[in-house]
Amino acid sequence: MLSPEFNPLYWITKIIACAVLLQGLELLQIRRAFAPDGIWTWETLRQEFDFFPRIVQWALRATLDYPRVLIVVLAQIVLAFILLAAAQPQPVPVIGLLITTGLMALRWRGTFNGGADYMTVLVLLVLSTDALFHPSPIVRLGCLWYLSIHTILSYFISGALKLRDADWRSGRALQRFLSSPPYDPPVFFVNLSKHPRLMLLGSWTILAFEVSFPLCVANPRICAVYVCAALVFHLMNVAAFGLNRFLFAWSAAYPALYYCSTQNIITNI
Amino acid sequence: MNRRVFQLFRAWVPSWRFFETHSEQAVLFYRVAAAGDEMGEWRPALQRPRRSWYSIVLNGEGNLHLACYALLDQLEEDISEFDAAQLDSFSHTPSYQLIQNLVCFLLHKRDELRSGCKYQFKVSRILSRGADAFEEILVSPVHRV
Repeated sequence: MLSPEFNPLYWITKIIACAVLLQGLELLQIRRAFAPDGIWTWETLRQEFDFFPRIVQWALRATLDYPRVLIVVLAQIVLAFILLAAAQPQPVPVIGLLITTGLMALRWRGTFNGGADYMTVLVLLVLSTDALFHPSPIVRLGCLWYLSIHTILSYFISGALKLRDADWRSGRALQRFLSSPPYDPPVFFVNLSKHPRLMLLGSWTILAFEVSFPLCVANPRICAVYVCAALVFHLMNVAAFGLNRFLFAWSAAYPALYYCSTQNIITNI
Repeated sequence: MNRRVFQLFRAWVPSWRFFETHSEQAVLFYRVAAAGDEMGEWRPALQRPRRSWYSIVLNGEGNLHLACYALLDQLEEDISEFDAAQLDSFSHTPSYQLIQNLVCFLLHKRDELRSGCKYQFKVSRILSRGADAFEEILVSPVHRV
């Protein structure tokens, strides 16, 4: 039975606030990379926006040029703190975070970290929609299901596409990813990758987990098992590939999944 | 134009395709020399930063390292739209300039960037790990500081 105190949007807000706070702190850590003597310099990037109307180009330069872009990052951190401290989700900080996240995605030519950015924007979009239409229960329910469906699809589509690939079915793909230059995983994982049977087992574990993920909304107990498995999966990705942002971004969606699993959708069909 | 718009706003259109297929990753090499000297050996540019126990929470350098590899992927995608006759104009594109910025940033960080010296970079794809065989995607002209 669902506790009457369980408020999925409260927990989604808290977790995504943590995620965005950490993202902001990471951007401060690497601020030299987007400074004028860095890599993603505004001087180079502004060409990407030359098709926008002049007023938009001016607005982007006003917010994304260095050092003004640091104000966007600091705003992101402050808004995240406000959301963490607030007793209930607040519309202004939520919408503010959606704007700062969107601006930073533009600053990095679309995304900084790929998948984690997609999920962060998705969660903030859902929270913003709920905030704008508050207190509509239909919109709230729609937002929770929208987020849940996308979360389920993120695992299912990823798994289904892998399942089509013979290299994934044989374990060779996992072996190659574990020795791929961008990730250069720790020695423990490199040693694991030298055992074909372990790679085969690992591949099929991942495939089975991802492709069966839609079952997570069958009931709350099954959902809890899948959420635990997902957390282990993401922790392994952090350890092997350094993908820490995925852990926090996806965790923000799990309260929505759990709520939807209490809706008895299987028995109601 | 449509592709540029989609690239800039792709965070708003989720793509749930992760580790789908493995194709060999593009890698970045550089070489540097003082003015008047012969160019040195090609060296790998990107080195994964050391991870610490708090990387699970804060991993700025690690995520930056991955973002640099994403720049190489973007360059590979963009250069495929240029034919051989247009490659000179490719050096004016943001993709090329970002890689050039990256090389200068790394040279500066490693204290190899001195006034008057020259550098060159190339983006290659691994063909065969055992034989260290690479396919060159782009070789830059020699740039002077």
